[in-house]
Amino acid sequence: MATRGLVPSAMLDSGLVMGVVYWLLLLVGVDIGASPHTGRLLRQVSRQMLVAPVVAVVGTLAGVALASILLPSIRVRDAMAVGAGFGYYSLSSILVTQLRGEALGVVTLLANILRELLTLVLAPLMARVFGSLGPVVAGGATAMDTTLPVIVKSSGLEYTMVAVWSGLVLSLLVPFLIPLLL
Amino acid sequence: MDLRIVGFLLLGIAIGVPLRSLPRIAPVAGRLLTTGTVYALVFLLGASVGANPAVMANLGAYGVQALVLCLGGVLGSLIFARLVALPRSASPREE
Repeated sequence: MATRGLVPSAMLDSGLVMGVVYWLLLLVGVDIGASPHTGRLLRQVSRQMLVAPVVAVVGTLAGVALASILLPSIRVRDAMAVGAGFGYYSLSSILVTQLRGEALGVVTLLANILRELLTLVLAPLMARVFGSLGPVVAGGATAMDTTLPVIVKSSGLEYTMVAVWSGLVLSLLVPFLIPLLL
Repeated sequence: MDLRIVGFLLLGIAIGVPLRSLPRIAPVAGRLLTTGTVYALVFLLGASVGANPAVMANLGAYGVQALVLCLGGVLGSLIFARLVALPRSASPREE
């Protein structure tokens, strides 16, 4: 669609995407502020806040390492670098492209976009099957912004701070972990 | 990292607090707006993939690898989350 000029290219620059993200964050903030449970929220989250990023990192890296067995053309370390994007596709795909070339860079971009899409669409199912922490760790780095609204909807308002915190820690880890793995 | 992320969240909270006096309208309006915005974001993501000729040309070859790795990472973290949450999730609706 976009290649045929149906979508103006100006719409696709990161400025507009970030504008939509900021709008989304504003809406999430209004939701938090308007909730009568907000005060309680800040007091009862400390354990989950420690657990969530650890679960996301260990679970993701173990999962992609196992999945790479199915892909003979991708080394375990390369697969782990793809996973270490944690959904932060813009940064991770640039890092991997620079360190390991175009091919793995495209795989990184797609895998991490897919991670965000999967979380946006399946968050309610993830919460039901894997518990309230599920959508938080599946969202990875995106749990602090783009997937935050669906996580809050699926896991509950009390997971807002857990999601923001976990997403923040994972976002900061991306530029350290990817060069370490490659 | 972008400080505006925290800024917009805090601004939203400041707007939301006085809205507590509208307990019927605020949650419904908020949910509708949020859902619409999420769809817009998904559309933009898809469009930016479609607009990139290099990605489109190799979509088949790289797409399968990306899908496998994505599912591996997501399932790995979900299963680990389930294991970690076991002691806490003795809530009535589980099991």
